Amino acid sequence: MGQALASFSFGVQEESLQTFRLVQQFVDAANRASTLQQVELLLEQISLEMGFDYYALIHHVDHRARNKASSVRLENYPKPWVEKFLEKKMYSWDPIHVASYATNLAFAWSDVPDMITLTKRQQDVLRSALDEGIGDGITVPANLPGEANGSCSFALRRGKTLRREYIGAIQLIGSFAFQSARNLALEAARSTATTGRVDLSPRQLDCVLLAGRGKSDWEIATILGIKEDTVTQHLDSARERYGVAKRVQLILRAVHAGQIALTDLL
Amino acid sequence: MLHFINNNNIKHYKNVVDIMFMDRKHVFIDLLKWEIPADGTFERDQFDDDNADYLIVSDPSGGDHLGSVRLLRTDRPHIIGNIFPHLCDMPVPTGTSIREITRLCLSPRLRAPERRIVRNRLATGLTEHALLTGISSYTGVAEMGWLTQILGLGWRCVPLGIPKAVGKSLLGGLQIHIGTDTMELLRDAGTYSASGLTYAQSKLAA
Repeated sequence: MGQALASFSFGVQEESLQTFRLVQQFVDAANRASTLQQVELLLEQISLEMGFDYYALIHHVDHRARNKASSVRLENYPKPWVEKFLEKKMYSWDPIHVASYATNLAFAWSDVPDMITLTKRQQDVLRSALDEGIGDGITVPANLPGEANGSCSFALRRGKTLRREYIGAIQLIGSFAFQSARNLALEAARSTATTGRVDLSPRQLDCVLLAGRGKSDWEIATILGIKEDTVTQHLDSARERYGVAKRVQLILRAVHAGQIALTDLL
Repeated sequence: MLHFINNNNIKHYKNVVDIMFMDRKHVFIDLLKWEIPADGTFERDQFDDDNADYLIVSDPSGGDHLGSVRLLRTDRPHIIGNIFPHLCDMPVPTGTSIREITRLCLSPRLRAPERRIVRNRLATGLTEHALLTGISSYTGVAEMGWLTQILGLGWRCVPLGIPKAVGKSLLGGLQIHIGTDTMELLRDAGTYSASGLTYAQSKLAA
């Protein structure tokens, strides 16, 4: 029995070392990739090697709008599913995307109902994916302050069983793949466009922060010891910087950009 | 201002070092619930000895601690080598030109944009320090929830093993290779932030 146990744990250890070697090779190649096509080939290869049928490395934005030079979408999901997904704008409430905002750690899709409460609409997305032949999967969230949320997922055909012991390895593969793709997309965007990040001035930030705590312009003026008109001006020019019209949009944009944290507003 | 602090000059920095130990207690024990010893006010462990180096970002006006890292030699007992060697699926990288980054701590008093600046200043300072003193790479144990952000800084990073569950965390060993191109990688990623690194009285040639 002792011997059987020893050979079993040897087998497990051997397998985990082999998995790590795959991860190492992937990371080395991803770090060296010089085009998004190369990253895509690597994703295709590692999916096969780890027994997955699908991969998807994406920024969660409307990919039909072509003005987002720095956003990435590399995937090999069945075509009918991708068309339906984009057509119905499911990315806005896809439960896998929503769950990926709740954590920074890789998670199994079959665990999503335990992570977030699914609305009917979200259950429909999962059912719809299953109809198109997509079963269980693992998603690695990739959320950076000030940038569009993203993720890297690996999935199985319907009916296949997920190997959960791969979650740690997938965490590495997904994160390194995303970073490599993000770098290449940023590089491409730098050479074609001028869209840089928008920062608010410290005074604008003070005003937005207090506005986010529900203060009126007059209250903000009193707290900061400046004129109410000045506060209005600061908030106007902050809205202008982000190109948004409403106070709520301004506050959300500032939080999304990592200029203020949600905890600052509490 | 970013200060390099070691056994030779730590006595000149008592204030900011004490605040660092208090912030470490607040962040690691009170907020992150790490199961590590503390003496009520300060978080200090067996590695905070004469061999530990620190890089500390301080507020130039009041001298407050804004953020810091502890650097341990890897040719002596250190975290990944002695506490988490199982996070390495390869020999633990050790040697005189490798330092381990531990106890990265940002002041809980900072707001989000300031946190980003202090973090960037630390990353830039770590790179400058490595280039100035012949450190070829840093190792470290990282909570995998931070992996995207660590990689997002732009430097060249590789995993040392498959991440493993430790208590409630998923931890992984990482190695960051520093070379002459690292500054440019940081600049491309928008991380570079003039650090103002100073070695005053550390007896370390800069």
